[in-house]
Amino acid sequence: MKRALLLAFVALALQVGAGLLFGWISEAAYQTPRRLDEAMELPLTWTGLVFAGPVALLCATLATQHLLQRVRLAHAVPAVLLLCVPPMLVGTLVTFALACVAGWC
Amino acid sequence: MDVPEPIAAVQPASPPPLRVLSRRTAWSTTACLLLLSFLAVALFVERPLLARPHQHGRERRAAFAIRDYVIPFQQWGTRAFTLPNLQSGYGTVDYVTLRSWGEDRSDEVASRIVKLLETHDAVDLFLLAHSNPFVDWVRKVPAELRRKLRLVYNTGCHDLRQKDLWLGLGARAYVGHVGLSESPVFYVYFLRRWLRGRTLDEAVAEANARTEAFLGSGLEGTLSNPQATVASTHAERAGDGALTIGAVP
Repeated sequence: MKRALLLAFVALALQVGAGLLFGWISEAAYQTPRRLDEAMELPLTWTGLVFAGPVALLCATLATQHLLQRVRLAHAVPAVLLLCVPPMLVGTLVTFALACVAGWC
Repeated sequence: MDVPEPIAAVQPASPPPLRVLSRRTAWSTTACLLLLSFLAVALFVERPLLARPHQHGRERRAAFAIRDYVIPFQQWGTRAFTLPNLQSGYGTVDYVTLRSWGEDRSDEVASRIVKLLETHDAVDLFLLAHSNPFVDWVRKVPAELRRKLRLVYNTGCHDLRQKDLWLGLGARAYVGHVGLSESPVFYVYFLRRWLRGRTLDEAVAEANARTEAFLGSGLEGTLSNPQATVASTHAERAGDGALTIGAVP
């Protein structure tokens, strides 16, 4: 149970963290004067996309599997719906965005 | 006198069996949830396009994109999406973000476009800005070079009205929006299809259809009248509708 919750919170934290990172990048890159080197803008963005996308998606997937296999269904189902499905959806969307900007799909 | 019978001791109920899923069922359910997530994205946002961006003759064409002065988050998002996508289909890409409202960088922009036109067979322009005066900026490019301008896509609201000006300048085709538009939605769908070799007419038609589906679905929750927004976001093409990214002037 603890492991599953930890994984779910890691997924959520990665996505919130990436959102904050994107906010910081945009402010640092497009406020005057520019505080972020132009060459670093896209690599940092991609790093955020990787953590909020595939990495968070993996964490949410493992959390879901742990909850369903180790916790009584009466507790597992609401936990999955509340804690795992949102980061799974966001992770899927971000992974898709990452694949799009990389020209993979 | 009856003696009350002693109350029988209540046996504690045995605990219910732990209802957990087997390993296989847990994995299957998780996989189904993952699949549903991917389907939701594909149905409501965008579907994967299996074709890769068109590569043939890539080194002979260039793209120039310009973003106007908006909030930093929008400027960052536009560049993060546009630059890698354009680089996947064009040999050279130049990208400019304006730093203040009403800033006149016409001389600089014209000279950067000239540089691209001098070294490539065709240059496409992506004007990622609200209603804009860029047609006057590009007028500073010598006429003999402007003949190499190929596609001009303009996100500006109501800027379909510039179509004759752009075609008159030498562009082979122009795409603009009819009214007050949610053009960033259209732009994402359009650019992905254009880069993959669809004809201009196909790319515009598919992007219009996807934009209509997305805006009409209510996912863009800030719209007060989605149907009116869909109508005014509609994009139209002027000029050569058979144009593709691989076409040589």
